[in-house]
Amino acid sequence: MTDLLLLGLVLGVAASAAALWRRREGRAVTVDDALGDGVRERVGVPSGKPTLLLFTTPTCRNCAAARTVIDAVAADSADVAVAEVDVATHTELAREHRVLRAPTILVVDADDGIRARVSGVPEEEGLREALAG
Amino acid sequence: MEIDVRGPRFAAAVTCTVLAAAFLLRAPALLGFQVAVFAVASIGGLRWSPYGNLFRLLKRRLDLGPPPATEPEAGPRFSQTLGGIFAGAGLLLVLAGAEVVGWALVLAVVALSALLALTGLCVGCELHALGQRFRRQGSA
Repeated sequence: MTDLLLLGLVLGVAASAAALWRRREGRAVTVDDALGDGVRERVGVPSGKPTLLLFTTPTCRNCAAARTVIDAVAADSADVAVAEVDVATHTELAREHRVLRAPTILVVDADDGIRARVSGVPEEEGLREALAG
Repeated sequence: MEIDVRGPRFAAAVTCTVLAAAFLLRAPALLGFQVAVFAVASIGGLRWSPYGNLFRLLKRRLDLGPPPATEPEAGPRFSQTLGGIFAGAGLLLVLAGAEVVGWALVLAVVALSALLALTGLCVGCELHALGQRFRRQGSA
């Protein structure tokens, strides 16, 4: 009986962690941060443009899905730039922005302020809203 | 090698069930079976994974259709290694008489496989991605 309770407890903790994860996954979380100096040059995006910065890894499972959403959002506005950063080759950039997961998306405004960040495949509407400010 | 993303979730559900049964029945033999499954997938690659092959068989029989997405096998394979290390250490401890610590390690694997089965969140894969970042950093 104790064993069953213990197993139930373990599975309950896993299910709660799963629920928490699901709630956070893909949400644009508002942040107040700034893009480091010279980052735009390093990743090859023009300055003065709102930018979606997608951090990926070579073995990332959800990066292709994240890319699809980002491209759809960017397609709506000629003004939005998109850049993809491979964490494996841009380790210092990932460290600077505390990127621990792929995909991670930073929503950067035209003045290099980071407005929001998303872990996982972004929700399209939330990404649009974050971009609009 | 790219794999169907549904495969690891299915395998995690089976792993979770097998390990939960091993715990409830206090069956080291069943735990040993799961450790062997982890070892095969980890050393031989997911192509040889017993649960992966079971999934492929079911996929054909039940006509589950093409994969909704694919992913590189490196992350899930690393997770199998991690699972094997934890469950293997648990098995050794149980056999050595340290039952409480041994089964606690097994329950940790039960929790992580339940998480993967329920949400698709693979903690081992995330650790693999993180490790990749630090490895590159170390060699840079």
